[in-house]
Amino acid sequence: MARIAGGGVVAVAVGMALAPAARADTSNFEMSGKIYTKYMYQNDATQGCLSMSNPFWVDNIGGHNGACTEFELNIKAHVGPKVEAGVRLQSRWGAMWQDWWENGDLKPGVADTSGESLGMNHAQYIKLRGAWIRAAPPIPTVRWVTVGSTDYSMWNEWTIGKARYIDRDNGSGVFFEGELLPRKRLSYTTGAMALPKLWAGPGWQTGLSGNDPLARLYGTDWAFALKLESRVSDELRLRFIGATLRDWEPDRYSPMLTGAPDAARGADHSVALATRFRGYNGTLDAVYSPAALDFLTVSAMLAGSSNFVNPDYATNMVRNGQGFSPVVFKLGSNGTPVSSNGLAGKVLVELADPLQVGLSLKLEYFNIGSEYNAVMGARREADVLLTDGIIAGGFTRGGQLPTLNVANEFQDWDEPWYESCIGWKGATAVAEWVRGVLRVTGEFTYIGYNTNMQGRDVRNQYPNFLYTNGFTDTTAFTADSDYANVYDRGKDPRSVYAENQDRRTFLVVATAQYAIPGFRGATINLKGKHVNDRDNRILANPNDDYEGKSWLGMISLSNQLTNELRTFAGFEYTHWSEANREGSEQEGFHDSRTVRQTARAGFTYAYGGALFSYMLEYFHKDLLRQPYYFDMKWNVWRSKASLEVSW
Amino acid sequence: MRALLQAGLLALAALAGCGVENLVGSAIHKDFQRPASVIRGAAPWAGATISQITVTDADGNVLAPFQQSLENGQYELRLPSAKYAMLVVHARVGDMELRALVPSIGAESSVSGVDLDALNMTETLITEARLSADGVKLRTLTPATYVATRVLMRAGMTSAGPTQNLFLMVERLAAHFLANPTSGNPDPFLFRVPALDSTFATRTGSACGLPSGVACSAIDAGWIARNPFDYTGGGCPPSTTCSDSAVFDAALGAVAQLYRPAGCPDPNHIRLIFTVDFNQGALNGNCGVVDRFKWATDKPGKSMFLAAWIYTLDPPGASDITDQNSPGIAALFGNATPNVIPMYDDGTNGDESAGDGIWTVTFDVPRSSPGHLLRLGYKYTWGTFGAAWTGTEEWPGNGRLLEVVDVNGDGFVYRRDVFGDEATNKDFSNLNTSGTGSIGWTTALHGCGPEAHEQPFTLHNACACGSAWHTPTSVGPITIPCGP
Repeated sequence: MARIAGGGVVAVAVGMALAPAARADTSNFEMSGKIYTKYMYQNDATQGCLSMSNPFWVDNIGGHNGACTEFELNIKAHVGPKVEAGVRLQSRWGAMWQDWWENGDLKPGVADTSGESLGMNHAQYIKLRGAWIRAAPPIPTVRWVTVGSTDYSMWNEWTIGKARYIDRDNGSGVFFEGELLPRKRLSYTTGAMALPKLWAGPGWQTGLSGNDPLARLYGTDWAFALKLESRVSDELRLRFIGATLRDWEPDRYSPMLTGAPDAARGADHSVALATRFRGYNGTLDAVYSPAALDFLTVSAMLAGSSNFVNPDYATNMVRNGQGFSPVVFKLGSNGTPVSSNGLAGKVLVELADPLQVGLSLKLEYFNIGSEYNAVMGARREADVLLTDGIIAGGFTRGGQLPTLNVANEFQDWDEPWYESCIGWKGATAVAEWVRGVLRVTGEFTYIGYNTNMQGRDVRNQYPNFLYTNGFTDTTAFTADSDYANVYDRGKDPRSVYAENQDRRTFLVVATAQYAIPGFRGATINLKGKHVNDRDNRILANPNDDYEGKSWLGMISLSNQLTNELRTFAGFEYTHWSEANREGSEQEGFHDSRTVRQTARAGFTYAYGGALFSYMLEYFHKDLLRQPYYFDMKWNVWRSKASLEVSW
Repeated sequence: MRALLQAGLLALAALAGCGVENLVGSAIHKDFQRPASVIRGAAPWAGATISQITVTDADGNVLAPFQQSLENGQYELRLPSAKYAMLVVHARVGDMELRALVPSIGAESSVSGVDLDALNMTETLITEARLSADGVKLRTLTPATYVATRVLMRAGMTSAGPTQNLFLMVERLAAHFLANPTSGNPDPFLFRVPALDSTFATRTGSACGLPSGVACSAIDAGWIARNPFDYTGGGCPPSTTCSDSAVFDAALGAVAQLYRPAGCPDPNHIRLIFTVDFNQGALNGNCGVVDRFKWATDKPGKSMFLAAWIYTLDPPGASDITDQNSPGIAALFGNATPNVIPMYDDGTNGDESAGDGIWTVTFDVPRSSPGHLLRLGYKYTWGTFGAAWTGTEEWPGNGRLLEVVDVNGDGFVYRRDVFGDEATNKDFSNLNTSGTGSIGWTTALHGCGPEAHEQPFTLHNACACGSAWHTPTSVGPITIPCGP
């Protein structure tokens, strides 16, 4: 032991005696690991293990040919009876097996034999992805205090949505949850969360000077939220969620920033903050399940949003970004910036087999204001409406979200797609009939649009995302060098505003699942869907009307051959007939027709904690546009396999 | 309820540190106004609108206020905060243009009383006439000298005499125009900028872009011919009205001889101009390309500053002029504080060409004389207001030298340097390959005279002697008020 002057030796010895002994055992540890390997093939000239990577800042991990592996280690510690902590460590995704050796050095734009050119994206380094501490202090009403990483799933899609899977622990904050009244009569959750600098604000950022010359500060930006829940009775549950987003910038005219630090000028070595973006979102929802009518559930929700952008600190991306903006830059009648406000509501009535004949009904009314926008709402992997929606296909699933910030990126070709439902108003009726091994559903949805308007200002205020009409082909969507689908410009899934719109849509969906008797786990799945989408555009011009009709038919067979092996195969046919799909008011519009056949087959094999899956897809697509433009066709083979082992 | 209160307080306390401070601070913060140089005055005609009023610099370039207003006959123009000199406020009122001169405005300051009336119009005409006759540009005027001359002109307008007579003519003409409908003519008929020759006679024809024989008068010849008008109050004998501008022109020429807005050379002060070349590729004293960011770092928002001080080291020799015998001179240079004396590359404040990478700052300092020399140390910094030396200065330690002597006798001491050049004018650790590592007040490394003096220079090249002296045209020498 090092000698310390005076009584130091004694003091250290006493200190060591009082300190908890370091323990070599792992009884207070939980560790779990996972190895995930993905293989991708496509008959094209790309390489990588991610179908659509970052569309804006093109990176070097997107592509369709390659095999990649990542490792994840989760450590959870039971520090004491009232304190827990955890971390997630994971290797960087992006290195292909073919890379062999990349040490993390980057030569921008260069791929050479040095093994030192592709940067950290290909170096498989282990990164701290998430860290959190959770404690239950003896404070009245408080059940848990959490500090650190979280996926924000304690709120909802209309306010602050659950972070998408790839961002699941990028967010951090401080959270309190507890009960104000016993027996869940009134419980609360409140938190402050660091705003993500990359997407939660005007221009998809909160103050990055490289992207927005009017802004430069993001470390001061936070979101605050409060949730109150009450189980009023066994039949009625109420919930309120309120959230505010605060993106601040230094007041550029603070005396400290405009001249000499002279007290006579008012400079006092402090810099005030000015608002760049301020958002409010709130929801009040209720679920009523009367005991006397146990087949009935009624859910209702009312939401409101208010978003203010200060154009002094946020570049107007409607005007300067070709209409690509996750926020409205609204102006008042005198040309000054004002808040963009919107309300939304929906009511869902569910009747679970009320007649005891296997027939259930769901009826939903929805009315989402033309300017409701949850800037930090769920961006994907959620669905707020009952309807199958417009964007969902047969193999490709989909959902609707009340935000302009929908993110169909960093995903593979077999993953769901999401569309913005801002401005939608209408109703959905879904009937389900179950009889033995047969399940049949039918849906009818009518959608009107609160966004219908003539002469909307899409040059300065309302983002139109450039492409406002046409079915979006999620199967053939590309992100080679541009976010939008460069070969088949359908509607951008985020586009809800158009300069001239008079639109209505109805859709009919029917599905059936039939478990074939005598064949173990064999099920036939059928889906048929028709969408009729009409937009009269300029009311005074009968020649510019868009009318899209889509028909979809899908059949697939899945079969659980053994306890470990499940197979599936299917076929999907899609036909779109679209009048006046492409063009402009100045040059006129032109018709197009799309025919696509897609075949998929694959299997999953689960054995002893390992899960292997493989899927092969072929699609042929004809886009018929002559005579105004050349036709295009696709003959695409692609596959995706994964092996996942967790322990 | 108590539990709710406890939980709320606890949550607030715990969330402090997660942006709650900003939430509170911003709730009471009202955004600061943009710093401005503000001009205010009266627009005393009926139906005045702000769109009628513009402001130009001394060269006639339009300046754009970032905010402007007009209420109850009072206008306000908010220009970006800076130092301005010899501005002209214009008001187009029908077929007439009224003008008023603003000798100077500082950064974050205001000037009031710039009224667009007959008084200011008369003063402006006298000034324009005199400068025209002397062949002097408005931008070369020394504001303090002009202000002193203005006092004399105003006094003349309030007492009987030729100046008051001229003022009364202007007043009658302005009133007449305000009472008459406009013709929509693109050029004003009244109060054009007069052009006079050296004898104070009104020029004619091509001298002001008019047909031969037509007077370059403040009054449009065609208009007065079509609209005879008694602007003198006694007619233009033998007529009881005036159908040409001859009487007015003669009066203006006579009055212009009474005042000298440009003043006379100041025997005791001299205008000192520092200019620094910040262009990439400029050559240093060894004829090598200067590395501007060898010591300084670059980032958005930076601009050029000068830090200077009274030189006290001996050797090579301290300044004779000091803060003790010339109070305030150290503060004039910012007391050697970095990043507080801004330089300009926007065509203002003595800068000759906007955006050319040559940054300029001017000072009015005591004139040196034998045995009474002003010696300065200085260096340039590429920084932001109030920033420290590190990362902004040309080099650490050492400085440049300047003996403030008007070598070529043009009324200026004009210094040109290349930013970051350690091989020309640097007192110690001088890297000039033909030098000794240091320079004094007489060291000459390039055959252009002492490095510590003003020199002829070659553009973007600190290793070649210039072929001719440079006399700035964007600003004049210091003058003082003097008689006609």
